[in-house]
This record gives sequence, C-alpha cells and structure tokens, in this order.
Amino acid sequence: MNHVVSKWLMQRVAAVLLIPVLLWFLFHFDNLMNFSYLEALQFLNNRFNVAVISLIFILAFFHMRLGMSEIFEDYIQDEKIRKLANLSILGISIIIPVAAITAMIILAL
Amino acid sequence: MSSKSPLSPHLQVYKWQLSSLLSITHRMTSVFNLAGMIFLTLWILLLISGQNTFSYFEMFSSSFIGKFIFVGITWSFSYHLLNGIRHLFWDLGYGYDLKVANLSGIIVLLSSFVLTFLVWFI
Repeated sequence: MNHVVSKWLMQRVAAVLLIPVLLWFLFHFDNLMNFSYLEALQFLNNRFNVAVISLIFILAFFHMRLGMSEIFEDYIQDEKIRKLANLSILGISIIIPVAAITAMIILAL
Repeated sequence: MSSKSPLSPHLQVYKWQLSSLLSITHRMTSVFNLAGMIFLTLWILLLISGQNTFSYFEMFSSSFIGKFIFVGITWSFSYHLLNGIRHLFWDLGYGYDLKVANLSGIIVLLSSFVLTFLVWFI
C-alpha cells in the first residue's frame, strides 16, 4: 500500500476505535472532573478504568498526529518547516501519553 | 515530495456556508480536544503529586470558569466524534448528495448539543 494511503487508513482505523471508548469516557467525564481526591484515587484503582483511559491516550494521540500532518500538508508549503511541525507533534504525541499512563500505573501500585 | 507542493486555499477565500462552517469547526474542535487531553493529564499528574496540590484542581473545577471549560470540552469531543462519523460515511462513499450533506450536518450539530446535555445534566 502507498505510504500516504496507509497513513490515511490508519487515521480512520484509530477514529473508529475511538468512538466506543470516547463515548464511555464522556459519560464519566462530568463525575471525573468533580471527584474529590479520594474518589479520584478510587476511580483509578480500577484496572478496567485505567486500561480504557490508557487506550484513549494512545489512540487519540496517534489519531491527532496523523490528522495534524494532513493539516500541515494543506497549509505549510515549506518542506523544512513542515518536517519540524510534524516532529514537534510526534514529540507531544509520545510524551503526553507516556506521562499520563506512567502516572496512572504509579498511582495504582 | 517537492518543496513547492500546492497549498489549500486559505479560509478567507471561501463563501461562508453550512458545509464550510462545519468543516472548520471540525478542525477547531480537534484543538480543543487536545486541550481536553492536557486537562486530563494535569488531573492525573496533580493526583500523583498529593492531596494538597490536587486541591487546586478542585478549586478550579468547582469555579464557574472551570465548569464552563469542562462543559465546552464535552461539547467539543461530542461534535468531533459525531462529525467524525459523518466523515467516515463520506470516506465509504455515502452522503455526498448536497441535501443529504446539509441534513447530516444539521443533525450532527444538534446531536452534539444533545449529547453534551445528556453527559452533564442526566
């Protein structure tokens, strides 16, 4: 498969996988943001909850990286700047999920 | 790829209509969604840093601005998710008829508010 086509397809695959997990997350979001410290710890002491949130972090940032590169393709003409933009997004999309998932694992220990 | 690839026409050249408005909203909500993920990350990192530090988050989330931002992020995720489904149908080759595309756009817009309402008030 052509490289660009496979990137396009993977972005959509991530999108489809995100639909159910994100719906699950949205219906917990209002509680989550109003939890007390202990309630929040209790929520993250559940392996299922941690697994789903980790999955959201991985899928969402994978989807975002590919989506952003489509936008850069549309609007950044200079190849060097585009590469730099893609590289920054790649960095963000690795650092944030790794930080969040590591923190959740430490909390659960 | 050559360094002089063609650019997409910039936003100000378009005549405003529902389809373009919904399309730019899709891209704008992707940025708000990133903000939402960053809030979630902060929430987790503040939890790990202890009860005292976490109390700042509790202060923020109980404030009017905090609530406004969280309801806004919920809408942003709802819109991007629902309009994303609309995009997936286009990717499969369905829904290009002008009437259908306008109707699906209106349905997505209304449903995004309904979903936000369901999440926060039910």
